[in-house]
Amino acid sequence: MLYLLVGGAHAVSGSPHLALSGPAMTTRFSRRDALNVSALGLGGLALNGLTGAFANAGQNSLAPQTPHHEPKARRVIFLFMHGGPSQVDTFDHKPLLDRDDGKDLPFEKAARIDATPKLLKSPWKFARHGECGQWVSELLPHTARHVDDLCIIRSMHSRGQSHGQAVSMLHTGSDNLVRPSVGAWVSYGLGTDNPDLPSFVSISPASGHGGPRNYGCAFLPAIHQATTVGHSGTLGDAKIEYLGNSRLSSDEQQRQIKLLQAMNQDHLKRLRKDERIEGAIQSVDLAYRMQNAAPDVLDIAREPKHVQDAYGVGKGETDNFGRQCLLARRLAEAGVRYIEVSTGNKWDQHGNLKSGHQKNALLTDQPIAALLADLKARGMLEDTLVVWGGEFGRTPIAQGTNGRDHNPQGFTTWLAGGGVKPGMAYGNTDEYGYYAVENRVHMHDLHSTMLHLLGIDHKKLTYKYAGRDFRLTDIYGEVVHDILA
Amino acid sequence: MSREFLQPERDMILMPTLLRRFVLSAFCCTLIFLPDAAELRADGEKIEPEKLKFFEAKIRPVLIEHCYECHSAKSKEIKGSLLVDSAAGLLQGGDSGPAIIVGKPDESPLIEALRYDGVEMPPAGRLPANVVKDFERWVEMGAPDPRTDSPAPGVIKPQRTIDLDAGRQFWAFRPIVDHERPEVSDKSWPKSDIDAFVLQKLEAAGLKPVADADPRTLLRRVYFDLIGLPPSPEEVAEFLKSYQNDSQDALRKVVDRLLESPQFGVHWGRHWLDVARYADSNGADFNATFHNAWKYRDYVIDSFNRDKPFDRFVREQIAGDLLPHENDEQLSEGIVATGFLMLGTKMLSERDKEKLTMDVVDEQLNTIGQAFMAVTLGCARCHDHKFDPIPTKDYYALAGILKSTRTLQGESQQYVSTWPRRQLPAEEEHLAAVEKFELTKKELQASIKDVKSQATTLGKKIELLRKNTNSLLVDDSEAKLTGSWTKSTYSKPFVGVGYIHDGKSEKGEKWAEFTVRIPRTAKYDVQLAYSGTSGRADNVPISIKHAEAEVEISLDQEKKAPIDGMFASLGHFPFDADQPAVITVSTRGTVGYVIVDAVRLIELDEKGDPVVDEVSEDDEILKATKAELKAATEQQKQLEADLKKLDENAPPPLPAAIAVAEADKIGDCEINIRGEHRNLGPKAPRGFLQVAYSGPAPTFAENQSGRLELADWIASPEHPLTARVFVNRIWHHLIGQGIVASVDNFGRLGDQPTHPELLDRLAADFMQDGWSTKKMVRQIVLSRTYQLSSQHNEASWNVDPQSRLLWKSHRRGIPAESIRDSILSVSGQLDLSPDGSPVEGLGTLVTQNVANEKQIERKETLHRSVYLPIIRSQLPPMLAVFDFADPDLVVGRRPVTNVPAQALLLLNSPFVMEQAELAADRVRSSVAKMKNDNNSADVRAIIEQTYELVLSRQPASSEVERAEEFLKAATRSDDAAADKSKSGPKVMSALGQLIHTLFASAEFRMLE
Repeated sequence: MLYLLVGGAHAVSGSPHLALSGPAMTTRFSRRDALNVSALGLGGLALNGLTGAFANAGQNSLAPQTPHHEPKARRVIFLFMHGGPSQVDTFDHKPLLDRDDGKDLPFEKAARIDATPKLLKSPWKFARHGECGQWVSELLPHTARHVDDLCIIRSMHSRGQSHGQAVSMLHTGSDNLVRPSVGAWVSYGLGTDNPDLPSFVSISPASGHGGPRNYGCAFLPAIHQATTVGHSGTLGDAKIEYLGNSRLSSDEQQRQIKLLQAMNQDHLKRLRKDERIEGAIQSVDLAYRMQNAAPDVLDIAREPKHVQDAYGVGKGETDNFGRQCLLARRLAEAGVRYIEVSTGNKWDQHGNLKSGHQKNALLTDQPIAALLADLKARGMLEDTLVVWGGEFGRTPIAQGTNGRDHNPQGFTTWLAGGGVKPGMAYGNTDEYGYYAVENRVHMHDLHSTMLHLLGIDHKKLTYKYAGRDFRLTDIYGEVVHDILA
Repeated sequence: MSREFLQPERDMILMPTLLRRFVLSAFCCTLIFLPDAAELRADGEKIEPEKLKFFEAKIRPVLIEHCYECHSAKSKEIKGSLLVDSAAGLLQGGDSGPAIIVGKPDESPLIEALRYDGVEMPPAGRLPANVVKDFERWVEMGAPDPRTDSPAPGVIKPQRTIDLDAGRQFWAFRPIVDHERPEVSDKSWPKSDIDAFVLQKLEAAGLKPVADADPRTLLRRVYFDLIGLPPSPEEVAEFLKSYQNDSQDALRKVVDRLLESPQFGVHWGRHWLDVARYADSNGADFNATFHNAWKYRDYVIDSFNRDKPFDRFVREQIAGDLLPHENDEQLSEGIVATGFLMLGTKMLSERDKEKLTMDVVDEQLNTIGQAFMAVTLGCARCHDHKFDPIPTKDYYALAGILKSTRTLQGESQQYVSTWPRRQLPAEEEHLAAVEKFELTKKELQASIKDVKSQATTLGKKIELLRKNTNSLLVDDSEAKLTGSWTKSTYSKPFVGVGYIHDGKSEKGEKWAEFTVRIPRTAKYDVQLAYSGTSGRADNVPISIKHAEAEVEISLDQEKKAPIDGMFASLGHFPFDADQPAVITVSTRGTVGYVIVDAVRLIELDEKGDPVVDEVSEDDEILKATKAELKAATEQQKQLEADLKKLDENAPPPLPAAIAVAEADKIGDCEINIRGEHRNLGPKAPRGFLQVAYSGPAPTFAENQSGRLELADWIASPEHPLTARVFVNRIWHHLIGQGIVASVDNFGRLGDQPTHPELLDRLAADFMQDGWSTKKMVRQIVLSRTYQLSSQHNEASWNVDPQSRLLWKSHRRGIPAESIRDSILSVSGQLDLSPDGSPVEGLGTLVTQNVANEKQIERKETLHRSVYLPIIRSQLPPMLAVFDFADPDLVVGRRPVTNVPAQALLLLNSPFVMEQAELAADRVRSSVAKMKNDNNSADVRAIIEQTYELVLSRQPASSEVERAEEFLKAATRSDDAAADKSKSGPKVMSALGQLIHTLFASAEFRMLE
């Protein structure tokens, strides 16, 4: 389905006023000024180029916005391990879990889960890696080689014992209510670096567990919702619907668009003033430019063979996720602000932990390592924040004989690049890896830290809707200063 | 809940360094500074030295380290209004009431928070278990606390109390006043009272209304505003003719005709569906299909077509099931109407069902608040509304009504809630047919199950027979029974059609004797069949009379039978031919059940291995068994065919609706402090918004949720908001901007009314006219204000650029549905009849929550867009791109965006191109008919006809010229393309391309 809502010219909306609040923002034109300016017949786009200021008057604009403070990261690539990878089998090494395998958990398990209280040791061995000496299990050998670039948060916790709530919490900061997604907030706060492309792209998002709500804009202007490529963890032909014509040749379409714009111009002349028609004229221009620009960016065949190989493109297991990661890098390079790459709901091993996690690692580990290496080689890791994680982790206690249940009580997420301290681990779970106990980082804290790295104060990025100001972090969230470089 | 997995010494190691230092230094401090004498408690009582020591060593340092940052007089921001830096602060407490109940740790919110039970404090991490224990002990010992500093005045902000009397002075809460028509200078301009109100404001601002709209523009506007479709060229021609005679009369006739058209309900019903956040699926975490939601959709469309009084419409949607009814049809309608309360999106898989319940109540309150009263109730869930006079108490007074209403019922799978499906009244005949059908089906299914299990048993028997024809099998049915035995088929597998057990009674007085004819003298393995499990007798005495003696052995039937799960060997014994073996199973001395299924003897060779003979298919028993199996299989086939036939001729399912019911538990709801469902304050007696209600405290019928009373209050003519809000919605749709622009928020943060007297007057008229939507629409459309042109005027624009005072008409886009419907109408494909269920054939879930989930196939339909499936998270692209109302939210005013995706869809959608081509065919044939000449249809006529059909107007000569040029150029490439690609994608005709371009033009989707 198409959710390509890109680059709108300027506000024609009667929606609530007030864009970004806070002293750091540029001077804003009043509504009257905005209308006057558009009356000159100059579209928002043209004006953006001239002053860069007009765009702030319109929330429907993707024009670059001035951040609240100097940003460390210009963009985000979020690698979503949907289903919830197990922390105690990847980054959270727990010798006591090994020792006490099969014994009862010596404290209470979380409410409303199916796992028995029997501890289940990890089938994978852990070793220290890199100069920093952080622990990584043998499940992720490729990622382990980049551990010196990672900032591993081992004390994540979140809300939602079921996927739906936890996935929503991760993506929107709410486990129950309809709220804009992180990417939409970032787009709203910062706009895009490339007017020919969307500011927020979600690669192969799941249709379940909230589906579009996880990359939607809720009450934010529609332009900030993600454009999607592929779905449910599968990239497919990486085409965006309606971005090409099946019946008209490009000559025919060009002639048609010329006629269309002449009609629109006539219409505008007849009415003398109409911002909506000006907007329509610009959006036809923009649409046509995108139709020409986007296919190039989406075409990973343009990458040299050795780069494709590094990502595992063309190789059975890694081909799909490799192409997704490579596409993410191409989009990042082209100026897309927020990119999410989804595995699809794969990591949910209530049973078959060993074979399931093994397979998922095989699908994703090499492409992710290649993405880190590639960003680094291009000097992009410095200002690209890469985030890896699931909606929750898994219990150190067993479900069935070879499975683990959901665990929002404690899990691991890692960050890389974009202004975080590399080669460190932050926070701790208890001895068995169940509950986050030390330097706990709530999902709200992760969100506020991500925004902080992008130059946004999460308390000042607000939107007025239904009688009050909304924030991504609601009334919560503390920036985790200890992990900032 | 306690988790004592940390050893004390390890606690110290795991504790953050700072804390450790504090604990240690506190120890030192107490050693040095602890006064000899007992210190005074804050309340003046003396604290015993040991207790004081305990406080200083174990409690104070932790409070300083972990709590003072947010809960002391020096905090930058005091969280939860709670201070813990003084004894009084703890006792007095914050938003959640006292932090400690002296002597009762389990009732102290402070302890609960430290235990991370509901509230989690400190937020940075749970304190070690022994620290929490210390706090419990401290509270238990009376919470000795020497800290006397009372909070400095002004540290705790005085609780803002809502002044309801002042709140009632806000314009929206004042009673509605029926204002007189105002005096204006230009007496000739107004055609109606509305116009006088509008002109008065214009004159006061020194503005003049622009000219009236030309008849074509006016007609197009009226058509789209009333039925969401363009007029046909014939309708345009007829209107132009009558307009010349009497413009107002011509308009009146059109309006009256359109108000009577069923398409009026389609268009205006959809406006309400936006507000009702209508959808055909749940969305959110489990996108469950709302199979019956379309009945609510049809109810809404029908209500607008029948011009149901709006107050009745309100009552039905809140309490339709509780309203008195005269017949089944009315009852059905009432039940279906309450779908309004059901249609919100819900996190169905939330495992904490109390939380889910309160979230659902919140969603309903938000919707009721915004839809009927344009108040943002949701803001009062956690604290008193910050801007509007709505205390939290009012929120929970209303919440009590909805909590007493059943919106959730049962689970569709573990942890995943589902909702009530209420059966609707049905014809006696229908009920009887369904009952008979279900009974027959049940019987058939039982028979199939029986015959299937019979066939399985026979199959097994055949297998056994073939495996060893020398086995001699005697089923329990052939045994000689003494005493009463019970037949059973409960534990599987078994030999034959079942087994018997002794019912654990009359022990020793029951036995079963098996006599087995021995064909050959040999040694035999004697086996007993039984289903072994716990609860059986573990010492069943069995006697075996063989060639040499009679022996008795004991069998443990608690153990599963080792051979095929059916047989246990009792031993190898010699038997003589023609001297039958007698095996007797007794119940003597047993306690548990004794099970007897069958006895089997297997002939053994000299080595003690079973003798296997050639399998003889002629064996009589085998033959007979095979015949039995064949018969059983045939019977099964027959029964299954019967079932299929029965299903095919099934009566239609009994009608059901997605609707609320009364909850099992009716009562008031506790205030959830800070919105936390586990942090409960006092109960809020059920009631309404005090600011919009006057009179004695409302009373509620016993054993009813209170929805009926709620509905009566909202639909009351005394209610200051209901009528105002709805006439404002009508005004918004017809004029393009509400008198209150923020149609869903009449609160302090909403917009102020531009014409408050007019709003009141309309609301008063509306109620006097029996809450009739059609009369209100008619009144507004026939005003001169509605008929204004949208022409620009520089002077007026300088004063009022947005035409808030209505010196000109608002240009506006047509809604997404109208874009699609117009395209279909132009191409002649639109089906104006109503459609049924848009989700027929979808399962419990629209989308599975799995990787690689396929996207649903969308049902293609040519019906009006209101009948398209509104699947949350998979909206029809054509609607979603053109600012369709997000069904997750209440949307009284759709957003207006102008984005490239809209252009891309119109330019590249195969559907749009296909319709353009069909429209081209239509134009060509109509022009051909006109000219009565099939070959040389004049290009000019074609272009004129095209503009008439697509834009309801004639093209200017410059437009004709340009279109002609385009057609010429496109035709050339048309031929070239046709030559090149005979098998390629379908090319478009030149005229098709022209119409396609018009579909994509701004004018096509704009009302001037």
